[in-house]
Amino acid sequence: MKEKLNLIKQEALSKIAQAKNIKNLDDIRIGYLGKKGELTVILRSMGSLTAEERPLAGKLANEVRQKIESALKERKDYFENADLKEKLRSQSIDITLDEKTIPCGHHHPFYKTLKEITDIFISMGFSIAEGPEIEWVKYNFDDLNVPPDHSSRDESDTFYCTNDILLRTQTSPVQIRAMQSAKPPIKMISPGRVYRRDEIDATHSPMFHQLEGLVIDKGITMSDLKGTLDYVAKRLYGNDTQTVFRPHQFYFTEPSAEMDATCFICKGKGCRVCKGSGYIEILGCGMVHPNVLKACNIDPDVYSGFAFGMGLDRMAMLQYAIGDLRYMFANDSEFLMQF
Amino acid sequence: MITPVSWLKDYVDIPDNIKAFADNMTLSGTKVESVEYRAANITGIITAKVTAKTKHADYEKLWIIKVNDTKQESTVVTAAQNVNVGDIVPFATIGAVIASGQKINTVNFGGITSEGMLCSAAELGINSSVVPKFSQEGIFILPQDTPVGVDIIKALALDDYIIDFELTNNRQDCNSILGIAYEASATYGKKFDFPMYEFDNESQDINKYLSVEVKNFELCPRYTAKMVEIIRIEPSPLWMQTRLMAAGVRPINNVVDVSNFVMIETGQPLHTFDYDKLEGGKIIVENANDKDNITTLDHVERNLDKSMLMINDAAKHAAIAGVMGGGTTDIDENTKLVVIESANFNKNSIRATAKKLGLRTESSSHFEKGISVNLTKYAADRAASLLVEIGAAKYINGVIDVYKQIPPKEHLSVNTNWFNKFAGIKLSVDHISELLYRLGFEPKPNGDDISVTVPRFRNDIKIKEDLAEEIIRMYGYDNIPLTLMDSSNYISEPNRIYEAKQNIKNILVGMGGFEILTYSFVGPQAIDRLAFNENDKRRTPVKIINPLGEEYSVMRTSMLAGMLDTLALNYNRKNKSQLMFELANIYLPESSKDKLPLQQTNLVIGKYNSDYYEMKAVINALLAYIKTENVDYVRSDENFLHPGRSADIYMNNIKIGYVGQIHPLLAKTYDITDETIVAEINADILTEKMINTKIKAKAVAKYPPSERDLALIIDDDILAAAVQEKIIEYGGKDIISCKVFDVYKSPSLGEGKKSLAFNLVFRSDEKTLTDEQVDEYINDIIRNLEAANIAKLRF
Repeated sequence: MKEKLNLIKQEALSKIAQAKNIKNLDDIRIGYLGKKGELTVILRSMGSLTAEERPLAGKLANEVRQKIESALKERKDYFENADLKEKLRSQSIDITLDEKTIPCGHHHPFYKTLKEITDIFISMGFSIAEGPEIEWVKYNFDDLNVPPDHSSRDESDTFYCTNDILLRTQTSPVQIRAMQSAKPPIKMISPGRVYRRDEIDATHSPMFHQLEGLVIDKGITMSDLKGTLDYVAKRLYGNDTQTVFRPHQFYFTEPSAEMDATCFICKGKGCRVCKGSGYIEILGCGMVHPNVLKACNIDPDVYSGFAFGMGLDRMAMLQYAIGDLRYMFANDSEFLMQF
Repeated sequence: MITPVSWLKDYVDIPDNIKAFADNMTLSGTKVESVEYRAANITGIITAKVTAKTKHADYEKLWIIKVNDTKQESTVVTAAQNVNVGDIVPFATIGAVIASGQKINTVNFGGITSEGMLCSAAELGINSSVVPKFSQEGIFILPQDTPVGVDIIKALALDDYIIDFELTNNRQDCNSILGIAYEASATYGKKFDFPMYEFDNESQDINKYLSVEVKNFELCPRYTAKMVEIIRIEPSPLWMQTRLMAAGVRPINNVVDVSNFVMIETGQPLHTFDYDKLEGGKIIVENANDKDNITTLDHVERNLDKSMLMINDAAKHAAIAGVMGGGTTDIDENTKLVVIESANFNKNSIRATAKKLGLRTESSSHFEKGISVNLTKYAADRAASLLVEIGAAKYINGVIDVYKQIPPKEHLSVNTNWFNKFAGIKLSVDHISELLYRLGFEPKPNGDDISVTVPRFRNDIKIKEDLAEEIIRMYGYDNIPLTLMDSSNYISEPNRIYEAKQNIKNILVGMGGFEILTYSFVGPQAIDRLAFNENDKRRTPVKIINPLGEEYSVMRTSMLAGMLDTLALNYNRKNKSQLMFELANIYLPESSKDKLPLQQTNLVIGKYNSDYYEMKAVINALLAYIKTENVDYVRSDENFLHPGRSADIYMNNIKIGYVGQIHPLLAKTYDITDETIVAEINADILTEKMINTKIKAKAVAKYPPSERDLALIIDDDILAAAVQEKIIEYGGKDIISCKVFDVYKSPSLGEGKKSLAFNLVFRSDEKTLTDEQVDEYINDIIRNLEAANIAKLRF
């Protein structure tokens, strides 16, 4: 019996080792372990053994069975693994081809610059306000303390629809509307299209974009103006950015200033973009003129505030080294694709 | 303000480091545009006298010139035709360098060796438009009082800087050498004392000659006249000529030069009349009559009207006030008596007149910015004294000074506590007073208050905030600390509409959209081409009164014009077809609630080499994101769209836009392919929907769906949506979707028929549907469709 079992074991293991594929293995399994398999038959004949022989033979038979099973499994794993490898090899593709495309869109460069700037202000608690582009003369000039005879009101400078209605030349009217309709504190920015009667060339356009901002509260100081806008410049152009405030004049602010920031291209060393000065002009700003506050029914003895404004198109052109403003409005897809 | 530093130095100490000076001026409020060194490059050029002039034997146009520089005589060959014996000229010796950087060597001209070169103005770095007329072309013939044998840099005072200051509107007082000197002095901590030119005026000899009558004080608040007796009209002395040229003004003769000189120095434009040409010894300041005319100094006849202020004599118009003189009263070489007019004219009147006449002069551009009424006599005195100083004239005693009133000095008060709180700094009363004093204010402290008298020429200082700016700029804007406001904690309401608009853009970019930017104004033909129906409000755009040109003259009523221009440009440049979009405003003539034109945000999308269904897919994806329900596509009657391939888009039965292929005739006008698809949607409705949509999540369905496909034969002109609607209606309570997945046309279906294959999905919330139940639903649908004669089952 023992010899018989050992013989079966050796035979089976040898066959398994020689099997060529999973089908062979199945046949081997059935031949030994199937219902009519050699080992099964032997196990069934155990009944004829003596009570002493039976446990020994049973143990041995089980050992043989386990050996064969594990050999089968090992060999089967081997074949499956090889099959998988072969399948993967045959499924290999040219990964440099672009057989399908999903289109990729592009925001306009102006919008990208605008978004960077608005994100900074929103993180500082400002809100965004928009208003009409066809606007009352009153909101665009009168309430902003622009003298009635000022040349910016001339038909050579400003587009008019009627005597009282114009295309806004700045987004300041949005602030006037905000001040007239909301109570301080006010912290807002107003981006949008503005219009001035400039012929189209590389740096001028009759339509362009501005972002203006306004803060009104009790106790707002000129140092707040400087601190806030300096912070914005550092967020925009990096923490090593320096700002310089130069006195200037605007009708709606007093005192007024222009803010320059270290040129973000050359970091202040002087280059073509900053015309060698190391600085670029970023925005105009100032403390809101008391006449403007009064025009909006805000008491200048109680409240103070600051306002600022910047040309977004110019900032986008600087940021992306765009050499000609006309590219911004031509909408050539080859140009837009870069952004 | 073009400012020669040498001129400034007559009145104020300027540090040697001009760059530092320029920076300090900028920081104190007088912005420097540019700094230019006048003698850049020039070396080895000296003044020399022409002693002989002969024609070159072989070359018709060349002259052989002998020049003497007091040390030696040299021979030069020149092609210039304006050199004569006795002239003093700039002579570039061998080895000299001219303004362009070119080095001068000996040159042989047909056997004659030229030992140097005579220089033109440009070769000295001087713009030829500012040198005397006879030197404009050819060699710069120097004034006769130029010393010979000296370096040209010394002779023409070229060792000098020109600073161009950019002035703000409110500081016309700085449009003068004295104004800049005042600022420079204050910048360096010193009060500026204006030089005084007044002299004894006790006897009023002038009254024997002249009378002045001002008839319109509103347009001429002050008219000052002085007179001088001319000794000789001749070129000005060298120093005055060089000054004027440095400031960018061409020297003419001593009388004209002095009036220009005084305008540059004081900011007050002057005019001079030949007294003997003034009829009746009279000056009358009054408005012109309509249809009058005058021939101005530039020999142009000008038509006048009654809005224009004139300087008249007893019989005629002598000058257009503040703009230009008339030819008949001009100074000439025989002039014996000169009237110097130094007047103040209303800035708006001058601006309007100059504009109407298309005649903008140095004088008018000074006046239109507004000049202090206090300047007239000061400038007249300065002019008379200069004319005497340079030997051009003798005084005629007295002055005529006509005005109704000269406004008193302005008095203001500033509180130190208020100021410190406003600026965010802490300055003492004394410190503030000192800063104001530097600028010529007269501060009188009284406790925390400082009462301040404003200098006469500072028209711009009217309120305490104006004073605050003066104090702060003298203290230094840069010395103000950087602080973040207390209200940095205050957070404003976010603008949800704005955010929603950005989201729409993001979605379109995500779908491959290129964001474009087009002008808000278009040409009327761009609107006409869209052929809006008779009563369509888009047909009558808001017009601009003063457009840049016809093509920018009306506000767009549809975003389509800009989109079509963009598509056409890209199509013609053979760019790959891309989905393009713009989110911006259209402007409709009907008034919004505050009576302005209605300004509505629209989304326009376009693509060429596309088809209707691609664009519809884009819109459906967008609308799905927005969570719109009840969207219907209904055949559109927009005339600019292909009638069979376009739809109006409805949301909850409200029209929100259109989508479609552009009409072939429109495609032709834009020179673009017929396969161009556009859509335009009212984005205000979309954003409104976006911010108001509240999502309430449903549990995931418990029971599996059952799908069935259904092929139907229908009339060709019945739209799929109509059949879909009916299928849903007849489909029972468990139908959850019905989509077309195939359209088939074949003659075998019968005349005018098509087959639509629908995929139907059923699902119950209560149980798993059995096949029998679903079969029953399908049978109901078919029975009802057939009964209603809508469709037949296709076998």
